[in-house]
Amino acid sequence: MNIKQLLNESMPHDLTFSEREKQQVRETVFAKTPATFIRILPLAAVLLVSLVGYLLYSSYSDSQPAEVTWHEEIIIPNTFETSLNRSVFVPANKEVIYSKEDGLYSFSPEIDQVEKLVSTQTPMAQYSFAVNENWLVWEDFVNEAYTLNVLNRQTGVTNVIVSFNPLGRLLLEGNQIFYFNSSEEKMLYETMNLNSGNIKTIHEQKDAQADSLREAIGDGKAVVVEKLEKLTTFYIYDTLSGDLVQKSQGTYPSIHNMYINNERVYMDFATDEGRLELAYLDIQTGTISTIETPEYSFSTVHGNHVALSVTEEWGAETDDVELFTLEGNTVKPLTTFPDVKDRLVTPQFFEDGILRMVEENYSDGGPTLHLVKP
Amino acid sequence: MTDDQKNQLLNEAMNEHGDMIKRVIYSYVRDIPKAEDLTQDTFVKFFTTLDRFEGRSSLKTYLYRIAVNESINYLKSWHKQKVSLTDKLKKLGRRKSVESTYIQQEASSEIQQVLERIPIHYRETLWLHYYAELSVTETAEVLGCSPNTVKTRLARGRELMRKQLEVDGFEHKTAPE
Repeated sequence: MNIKQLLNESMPHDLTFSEREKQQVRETVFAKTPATFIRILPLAAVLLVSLVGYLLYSSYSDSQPAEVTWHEEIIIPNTFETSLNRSVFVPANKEVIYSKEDGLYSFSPEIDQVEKLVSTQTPMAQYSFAVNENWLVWEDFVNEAYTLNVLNRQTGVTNVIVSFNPLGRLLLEGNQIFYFNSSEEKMLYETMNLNSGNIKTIHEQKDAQADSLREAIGDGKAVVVEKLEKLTTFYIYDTLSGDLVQKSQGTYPSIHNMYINNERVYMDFATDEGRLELAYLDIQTGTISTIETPEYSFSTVHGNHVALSVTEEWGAETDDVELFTLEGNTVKPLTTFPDVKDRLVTPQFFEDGILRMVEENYSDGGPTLHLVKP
Repeated sequence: MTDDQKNQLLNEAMNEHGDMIKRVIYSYVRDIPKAEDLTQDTFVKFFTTLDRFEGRSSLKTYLYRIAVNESINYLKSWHKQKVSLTDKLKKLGRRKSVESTYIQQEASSEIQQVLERIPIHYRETLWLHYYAELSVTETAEVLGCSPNTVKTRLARGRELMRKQLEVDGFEHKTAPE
């Protein structure tokens, strides 16, 4: 049997692109194409609409607009959007770390130089690496075994831990990683000190029926979320001592995208239809609050800055990144956000409040990485 | 490019490549309704970006590249990762590669399980070259890598597939053609 036949065996036999689906595409693109009468709207009407829009926008904006203090555009040669979407900015070294199919790379905008940090055996490392100025950690699959690879970036020494295959994401803060290590016997959240190799159990999921929803690390804290039937429980630990510092329970929608910043655990609550609502858990009090925002599909928060992939309306097919300041439990647009030509995707704040975004470009010079410091 | 020209290109693309684009997308997402959605999204994006198409690649590879990007973006989405993690926790007895956690199994076959154990970059190269019958150069354009990388991935992908089939007790031989 040849490969095409084997591949075909795994494919549903009646999977075709039907006339009904084609018609739906035609209707969608027709709806997106501006109708003729709109194209020839009198100039005065256009100006009037623009003026009203401007006035509405002005009334919504702060009279003293917040500033973007730093903005850098980077095009990394021969690098595609999928690599940039997972890239990490390391402020201490002013470098962008990104992955390609054959290894992990560093790009320094100041000297416009690419350096290959490590070669990897499988593309798996692209999806599972964590990095800061001192450490680069990635998973790989070598000689039929999963490995965890730990590069000390100060000494250049790589330590390979064989048969290590944590579930979920590798999370790195300072000198330790945080991960979910599950076997048939136990489901444990652990930290590993990368200097000593010591492993500490932070949290054990004791009820096998519970769903482990998310985990995050930051500000010396680790948060684990479990859901049993309709009850969601947040466990927050001090990663150094392992002490439980907060526990909060409630009935919440499903949770997407969780991160710790400024003594808060930020998350996106999601309805069954996928509609998102930005929320945070106050680590001191254990209370959860929601933040009023425009419709969005992705969020990232640092300090009092919020970046959202804003959709024009619920269910819209596309989104674009916009930056806001957090004022109480509402957000206000940052009026000086850089104007870029194409759509921005995958906003992510890093240490020092640097925001990374990727400007999509399918055919013209490749995607552009934008680094912004509000 | 006029609207009529764009409409004509869209119709030609849907008629000529629609079935295969949908199948390639399914090879990533393993979910028929999602494959249907992403296929439509692919052709809508194809149409709406035609004005920016500069002819550096063929329209065919341009279309496949959009499809691959749509599929990868979906696999990276938080919603998908959450679904996958839930699936994964229900299958704790069977440890899998990180890539395979992105795959939501729907209609599971033995061959499908074999394929899921192959890292995604080898798997997608096999699908595009052997199944969609793109040339090595076209596959390289779609995946944004060099032809030599495609050749390496095809060789390693075939080898991984052969090993996985042996592990699972299949007697099939993975002849390239």
